[in-house]
Amino acid sequence: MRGFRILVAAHGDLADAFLATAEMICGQLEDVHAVGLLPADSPESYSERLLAAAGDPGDSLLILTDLAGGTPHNVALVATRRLPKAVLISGVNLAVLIEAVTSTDALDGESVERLVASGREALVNASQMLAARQP
Amino acid sequence: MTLKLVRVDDRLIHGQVVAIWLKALNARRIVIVDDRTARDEFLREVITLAAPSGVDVEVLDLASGTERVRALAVNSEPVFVLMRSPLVALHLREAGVEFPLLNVGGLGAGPSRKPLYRNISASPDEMAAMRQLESMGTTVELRIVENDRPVAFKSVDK
Repeated sequence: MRGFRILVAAHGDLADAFLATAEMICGQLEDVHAVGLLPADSPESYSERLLAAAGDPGDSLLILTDLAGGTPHNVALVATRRLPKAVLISGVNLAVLIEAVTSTDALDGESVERLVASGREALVNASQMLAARQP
Repeated sequence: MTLKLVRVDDRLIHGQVVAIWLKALNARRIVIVDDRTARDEFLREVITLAAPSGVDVEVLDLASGTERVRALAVNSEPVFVLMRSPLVALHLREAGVEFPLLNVGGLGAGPSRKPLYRNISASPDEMAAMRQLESMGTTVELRIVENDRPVAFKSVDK
């Protein structure tokens, strides 16, 4: 049983697609939410939807954003001022999302470090790795 | 004249600015003139972190920002100037900072705001400021990213 809520914040349909794709791999997910930035959104309207999806500020929350410096990320980072138990990781990929949804840890410094590491380790030059193994 | 671009965008630094404009302009310095961000340390940190590494971000209030932009305009370093509202651009211009072009790339919709083009809307005050800028010799264009065709403010001000 995971000890924290997860919120994916991303441009366009990407957040919903991440959620649907993670469910394709892991089965139905509990307490994972997607908030996509629409072309018509202002930072204010997006912030409202994000805070609504974040739920109780007293709950442990992991926010995964698609792009550091992008509007979903910037707005979410500002929102963490009102979410004292939230942790934000940027650069979401399927590897880190799967690691997070299947986690049974509490959201602490150590588990967050492991999540970041899992996302980083997923990005590799596979061609080079393969070439290095050829005799 | 090394103000590579003076842009109005209510999101200040975000994906389009980082991914498209910074590269297109080859600017390594962003100056943000915005009272609200300048006076809130937390917001200032968030917006500074939004820029890629290697790009210097200065967040200044209207008074010190005007002087900073005035100084940078005659410097050889390419600079990208960002603000939330055309009212700030008009303030700069009226303070004697010259720029031939104002790019308007993001101004959200809302009550009593007139939709102009895609995600760009303006309040009556902002409409008046853009007209005033035009009359002072600054062309106002509506353009979201660099490879969009610019739309003249004059052509949508009806």
